[in-house]
Amino acid sequence: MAYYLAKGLVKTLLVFSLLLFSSFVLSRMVPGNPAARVLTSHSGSLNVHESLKRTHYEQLYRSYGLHLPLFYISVSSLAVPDSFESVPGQLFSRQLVALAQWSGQAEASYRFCRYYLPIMSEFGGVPSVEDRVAFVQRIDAFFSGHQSSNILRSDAKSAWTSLKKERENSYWKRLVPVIAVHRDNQFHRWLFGENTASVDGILSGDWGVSWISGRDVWQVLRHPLALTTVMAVLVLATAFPLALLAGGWMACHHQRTRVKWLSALGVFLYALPGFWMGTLLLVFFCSPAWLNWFSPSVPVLETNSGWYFWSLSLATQIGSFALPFLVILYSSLIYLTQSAYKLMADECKKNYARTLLAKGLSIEQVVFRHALRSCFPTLLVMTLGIFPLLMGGAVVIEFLFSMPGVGSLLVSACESRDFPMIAALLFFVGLVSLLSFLITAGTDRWLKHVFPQPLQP
Amino acid sequence: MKRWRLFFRKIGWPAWVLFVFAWIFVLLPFLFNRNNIVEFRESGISFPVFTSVSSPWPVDDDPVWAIPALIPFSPGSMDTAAQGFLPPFVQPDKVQKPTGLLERHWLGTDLYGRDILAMVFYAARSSLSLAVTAALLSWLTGLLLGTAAAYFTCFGWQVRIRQVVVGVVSLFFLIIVSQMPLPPSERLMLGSGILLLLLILSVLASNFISFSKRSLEIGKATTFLYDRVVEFFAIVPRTVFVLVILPLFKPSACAFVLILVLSSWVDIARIVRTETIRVLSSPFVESARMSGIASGRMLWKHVLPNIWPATLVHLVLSIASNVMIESGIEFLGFGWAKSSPGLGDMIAVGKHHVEVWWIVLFPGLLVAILVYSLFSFSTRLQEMLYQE
Repeated sequence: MAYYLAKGLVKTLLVFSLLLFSSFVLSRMVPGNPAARVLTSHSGSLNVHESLKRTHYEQLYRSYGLHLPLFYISVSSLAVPDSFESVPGQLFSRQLVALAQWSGQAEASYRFCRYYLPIMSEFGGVPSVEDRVAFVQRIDAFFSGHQSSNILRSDAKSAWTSLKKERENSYWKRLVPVIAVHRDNQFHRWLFGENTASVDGILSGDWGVSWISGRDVWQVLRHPLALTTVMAVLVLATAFPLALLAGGWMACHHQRTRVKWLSALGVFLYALPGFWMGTLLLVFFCSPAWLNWFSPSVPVLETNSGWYFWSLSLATQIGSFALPFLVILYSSLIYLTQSAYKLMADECKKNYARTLLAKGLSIEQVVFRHALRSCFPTLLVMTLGIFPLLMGGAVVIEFLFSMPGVGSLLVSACESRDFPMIAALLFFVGLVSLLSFLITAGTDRWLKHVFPQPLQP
Repeated sequence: MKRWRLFFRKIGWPAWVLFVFAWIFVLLPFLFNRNNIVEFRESGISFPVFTSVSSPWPVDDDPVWAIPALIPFSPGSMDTAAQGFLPPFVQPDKVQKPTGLLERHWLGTDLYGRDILAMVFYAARSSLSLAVTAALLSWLTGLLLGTAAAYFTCFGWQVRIRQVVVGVVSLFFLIIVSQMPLPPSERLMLGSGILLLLLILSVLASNFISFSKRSLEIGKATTFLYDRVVEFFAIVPRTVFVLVILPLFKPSACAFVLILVLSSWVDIARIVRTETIRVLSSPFVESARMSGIASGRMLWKHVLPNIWPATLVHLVLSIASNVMIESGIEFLGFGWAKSSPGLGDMIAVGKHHVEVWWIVLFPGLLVAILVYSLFSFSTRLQEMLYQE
């Protein structure tokens, strides 16, 4: 068992890492410049002076860590103090080498170029091959305006001379390759944070701020995530016993025509799209022209005063969630009922069930006392296994009924391309599904231990 | 012909329903069109059915004789007399004289006076074509990856140490060369020169160094990593995955197909892998291997024919699930750019106009009929294939 758990843990950690990595890549794949986007969305309508805008932009750019490379793995030789020759695929690598040779400080040159080039690309255009001379002049202007430029200028020549001398003396070092993984990259900062920029990193629970609302992502996300998870758990808790009863009843009468028709109807209902059923229910139950039983108003949950008040407001407004609950419930109920029916009907065909029937037990006793016991582990594992599907299905239903869950949040984030929110949602929905998979696998193992399968002749 | 008849008899009504749908979708321009199919004029014959706009002929040149479409409404044509959600079969108030049976809006109209029946069929056609394309591509991807994974699981993957060393060293040098501040042509020359040198060295080494002939088993490691990737795709719900990836692309049919393929290849790959492992561990494959059959030929000749049934059944199910996902994403407002609204777009109108039941009911009903037919088709196909 310990081996099984350890193996499962290693596998889970790998999938978890993959999930983290994909969330990061997704958040960085967004077209355009995030800092410019935030600046436009926050001060688009305001008449702000251009220089103020630029300062704000530079602050945002640094605070998001966009001046850093995505991943920083350098390949160089022992003779080169740092990896200035390994700037990946940039047009400015020559200028960078020139700058490093001139200043003698490769790391500083690299940082400078990484930081300033994207800003210049935003305001002054990307330096093309033809613009190289102009770019070197810009670098020169930067150093001449820099506070420590005098020290730099005086030290640069001597530093570079000593470096050159050292290189000449130790020519063999050029042949020794060095692969270095550096911390100064966006992925590291995203994971572990950065003390100087007061960013904690996602492993400490800091998912950054929403690009649109400017609020902390986790603060926005936690209540919708809890609501969707609670809803999915409630659906499973309701569907499982109902499916056992309905499936058992169908197995008791499985040779009758009405059960066959019911089964076909079940498949048809299962084929209906959930959002269509939801819209139909909305039309028939909320429209004044029809039944008008429910109000189509949106329930508002208390999210500013902690979990206790949130739970209280959820409990008091639970009636508002009846329709979405029904829509999410029906498909899982049909799926589980069909599975229970098929499993129990197959169980009734086995020899031991026939013997019991021959001994005089009623079909209900055979199904609910014996067949159910055999099928219970499989059905429980199946029930837990549909949890990720429920999370996915809930997205559309929540959007339809304007429920303050993950679905509405995800749709609004996708509409506004709020990528920190999207990445966090992807990660947490994946994490909840991953946990449900783990619980399912553990339960399966445990149930096999508790309910050992009888030996078949 | 006889085989097809037998096929239809065994599958039953789902095959007929899908067959009828297929023909309706092929003949859609002739069934629902505002333009005539053929127009005979004094100046010649024209086929306006193939043009999206009205007849290109001058107004005063009326056709002498014309063959109209069965129902004279295109999905994009707006009937000004029937604007503002006309209920099914109701005669518009603005039209004084009674209209013919075929000229009425059988399933009503939307806000702009567009015919729901025409819109539903055109939307179903585009949805189904997208779903079929995505399903076929994901089926192909899953088939390739699943078979490869199963093969490596069963027989491992032996790699010569020489190959590994050459691969790693070439990669290392290529990275260094790619980062050198050189013009691209020089970089290319240098890179290819280094690769050639390494190849020659590896061939020489294989003759003189016995260690380089030894093999390394990386099959387990590969399948382990493959399993993790598959698990990753399995834990993220499909709707969430599609929604999250969609904003990265410009809305187009190609992007949508790509995302659907990316989200659905895992299911088929899992089935293919399980089935392939089952077949590969059977005695006839073992005897084929003993007789010295090449791996590719063995997979093509012995494995693939035995895994057809499961994959074909899943292909049909995958089409159904793609239709559902596509209409669901459209419902959320993230559809791909097309000339007329999709099924999900039409149902989404019902969210804001709860009194307009017909615009919700009919598109969803068509999705349900299509999906139910595909479900039943897959079940019966499975029974038929396994019987054979």
